[in-house]
Amino acid sequence: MKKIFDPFTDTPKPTHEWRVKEKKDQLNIINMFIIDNKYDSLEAIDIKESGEVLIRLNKYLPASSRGDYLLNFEKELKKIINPGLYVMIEPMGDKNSLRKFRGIQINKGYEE
Amino acid sequence: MEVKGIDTNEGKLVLDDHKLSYHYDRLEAWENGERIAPISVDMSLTRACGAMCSFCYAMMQESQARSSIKIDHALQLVDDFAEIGIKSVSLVSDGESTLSKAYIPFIIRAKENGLDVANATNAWEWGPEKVDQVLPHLTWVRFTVAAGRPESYAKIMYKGPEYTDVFDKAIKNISYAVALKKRLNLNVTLGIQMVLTPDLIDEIIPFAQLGLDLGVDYAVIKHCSDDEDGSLGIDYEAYEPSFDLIKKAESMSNDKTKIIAKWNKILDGNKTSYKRFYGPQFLLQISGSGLVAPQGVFFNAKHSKLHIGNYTEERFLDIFKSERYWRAMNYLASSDFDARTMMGSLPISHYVSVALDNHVKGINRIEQGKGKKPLHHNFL
Repeated sequence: MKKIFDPFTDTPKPTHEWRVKEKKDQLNIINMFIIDNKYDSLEAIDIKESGEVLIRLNKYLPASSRGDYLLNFEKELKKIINPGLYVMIEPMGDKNSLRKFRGIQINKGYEE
Repeated sequence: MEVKGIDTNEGKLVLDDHKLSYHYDRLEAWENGERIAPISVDMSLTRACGAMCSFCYAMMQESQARSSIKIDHALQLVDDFAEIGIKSVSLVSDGESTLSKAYIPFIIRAKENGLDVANATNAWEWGPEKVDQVLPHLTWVRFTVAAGRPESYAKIMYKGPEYTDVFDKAIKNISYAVALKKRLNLNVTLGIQMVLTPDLIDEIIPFAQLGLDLGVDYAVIKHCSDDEDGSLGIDYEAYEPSFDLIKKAESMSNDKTKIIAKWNKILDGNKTSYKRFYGPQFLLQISGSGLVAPQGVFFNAKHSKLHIGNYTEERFLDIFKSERYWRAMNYLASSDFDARTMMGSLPISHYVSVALDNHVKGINRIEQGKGKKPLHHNFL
């Protein structure tokens, strides 16, 4: 079966109704969604205008399951809250002791 | 369209283009919706490294956890590569593989399994005892040489300009490899690589001269990748003042040593032309932490939704056959993903991804390669 490619479609952006909400309200909606849907490993800590939802992992998820778990979460978030939302996790800095001397900070895309 | 490369005494050397034309059967299988094995895997056997290069993308590739990669893990991995039809493996990725105990056994087993093997290294811990054992099995070795002058090299790659002993050690080991290649008439390509950041313009000519002095096969000048949030602070607009010097460096090429710039990547900068990211299905990356993710730009915990598994916890064969492997790959090929804003710039499969995007858009269809294959054709 020939594969269907989709090279031209724009990735959905958050709708106007979502963008006009205050950030604290957006966060509240997502964190309520997390509780209601029992994604108890997750906590939304920031949201960007692009639709990026920054998530803190409150427990370790093994590599074999974290992808599916988070993609499932994102899929439901898009379907139920807003199609323009997508998930990113709190980034991790380099653990290499020598390279750390360079002082590079991973830009987190949000204000601490 | 013919693949772009540089003619050398040993064949056409392609550093600034893709080689998908020489894997047309797999390209057709992909278009037909088959679950294809990657042609090439780029990986590391450790996240550790003794250097501290200012341009190092590995600083942005920390995952949730690091696993210690034992020799058995590495050998099983390369057995699985062979079983599913992967054709080559390069030890580059996010760590200095020469530091791993698995380094020599891995290379030997990969070659026994019929894979082409390659390595990028700073050569600091790559003395004759290691070189003698691995060089006959390697298709190419690329040495990270940040600058041609000892003080600059030490400043960029280590603690400061006074630590020139690291430069001396690297040059000694590279020279040994060049001599061994010549003595044994080995079919291996040896090159040095400078990762150019806009502030290093004065290092371009000394770097090219060092390549000529060492007698390596090539000296390549490449762009610096950055993550989607610009953590390294690379200003891609600031490369332009270096263009004349890069061209001057290229003109220094001689019969033995070619000075090459990766113009396509330098000019593309962070202006990604593709929205969908098809390249990882052909050129997969694996972290020195054991993490399997479609590409190195997704190793960081930030991109956990694209983490597929860890080959120290389960066989790679099972990871490759899992639904989660294809879910991650298909996600990148879907409209949920925008490569222009959701990942770092210039990933390892950039050339492949540009070509596949142009292919499916009908802008420039990839044609089957004809005639003599270029050097290293199994490395995309």
